[in-house]
Amino acid sequence: MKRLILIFLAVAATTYFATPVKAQDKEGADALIGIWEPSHGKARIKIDKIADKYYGRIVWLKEPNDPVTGEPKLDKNNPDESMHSAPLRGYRMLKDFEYQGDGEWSEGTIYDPENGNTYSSVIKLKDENTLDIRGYIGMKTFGRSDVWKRLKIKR
Amino acid sequence: MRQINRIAIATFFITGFSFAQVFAQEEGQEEEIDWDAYGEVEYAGGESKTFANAKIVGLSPARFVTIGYEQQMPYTVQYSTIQKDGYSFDQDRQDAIDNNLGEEGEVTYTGGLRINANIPVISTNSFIWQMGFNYMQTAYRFSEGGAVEGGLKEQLDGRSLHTTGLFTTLYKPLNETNFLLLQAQADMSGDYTLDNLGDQYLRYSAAVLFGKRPHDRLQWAVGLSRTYRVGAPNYIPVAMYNYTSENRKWGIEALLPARAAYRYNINQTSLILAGFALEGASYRIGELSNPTDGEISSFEIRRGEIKARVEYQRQLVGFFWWSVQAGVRIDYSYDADYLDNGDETLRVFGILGDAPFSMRNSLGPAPYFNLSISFVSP
Repeated sequence: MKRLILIFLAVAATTYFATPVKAQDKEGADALIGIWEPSHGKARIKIDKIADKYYGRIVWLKEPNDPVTGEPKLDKNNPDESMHSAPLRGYRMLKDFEYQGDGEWSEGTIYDPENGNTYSSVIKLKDENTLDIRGYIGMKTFGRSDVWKRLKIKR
Repeated sequence: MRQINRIAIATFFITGFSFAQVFAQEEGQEEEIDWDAYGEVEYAGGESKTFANAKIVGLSPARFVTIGYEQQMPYTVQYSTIQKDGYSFDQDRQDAIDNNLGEEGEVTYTGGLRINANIPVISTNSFIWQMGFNYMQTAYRFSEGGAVEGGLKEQLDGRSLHTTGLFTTLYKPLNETNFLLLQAQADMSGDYTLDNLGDQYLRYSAAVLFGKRPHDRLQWAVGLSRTYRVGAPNYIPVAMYNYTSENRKWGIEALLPARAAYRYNINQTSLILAGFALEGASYRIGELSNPTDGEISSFEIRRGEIKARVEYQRQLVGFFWWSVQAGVRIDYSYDADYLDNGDETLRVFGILGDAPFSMRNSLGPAPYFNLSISFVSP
């Protein structure tokens, strides 16, 4: 019995120290996970959790093809030229968000494929199906907020 | 010891399994994404509402803060004598000067500091409110000789005209394509110093526009403005037109009659603009305002100038850009009005009035340059 208790304590301690977000916040933190649509409606972003941080990738584009080339849109505005041949669909445009509690995720970045710029970003959960996402430069004052709505796949 | 070994092995397997799950999930996402599934979706809660974006793709970067320096090369001036209400509106400017020449000479230096700040107070997809500050200094130095006591040259030589202003801009998208744009501005323009600053230097201007943004590469708007852009106050129609070509290499940026430019996007971090700008203000000259009778009267230089120019903008580092602008400054107006008790004169190109001028002046054209650094939103 003592062995079992020791094993349980060891596992509990390891799990506790390996996870920065408290157990009671875990459910709130994961409220960010899902499929979201920015207000412009031209893309859909799927947010997932990878090792305690949250990442969002473009999973759908209203206009998937470049109007000039007719080929799938590429990340041709990226300042990193090696990315110019990367397809926009599948591109991870939200990176490294960490849950801060009270329905807020920060320390992340948002990438704008229209101009190739990456902005600091903070996300707030307005209600379970609505996000307020702000991209900014340096200080939050120099930024712009957008409202994203949660989507679900039709079954 | 055996106990500790068992605990360590159990811990390793359990936590190892957890991490393996995370990475398996990630790897699985890379391999098993069904892209088509994301085309068949529905809103989990309320629908998203789309509003017309304030910008279009490809525009030159919006400037949050700009610090710059501008200088004009030497040019000649001719000033008429100062006669309160002495020059009729219909009289040709050059005839009036030739028949009443007061001073003439060369301006060897015209230039100064330019500061502009445009700070978002509220910036969302459904409403934008910005507050701004601008400061413009124009210092003058004349070649020696030819100054008349009590004349304009004496007032300007070695001194500066200033414009200090606050402005606010509201952008309200009405739906996916229509929007309203409002701007109001309060400027103090003249030869004031911090010691004699007062509301006698204060002037107001404003604009309201209604516009459409049919797609990501085009927006236009029309409206009405009260402006001092040609020196004297005017009520004039205004039109905005911003366009970017389908290949995003070139475009048009225009806010008529204030400015218009052809834009060539060299790449994501540099561009060239070629066009014109109409700039001006009404400057109160304190010493010539003669408030001897106790009234706050104003002698106002109505400066309006056209700048034909080419500008090169380039990213310096991150969100800091620098720009160099060069062109020719062409005189539109440097005439003067005497405002009894500060009451403004409205002519609007003779449509609303034909009040006489108190001074007619002419400035020769001058090459100029402007260097600036900006903190921008690309």
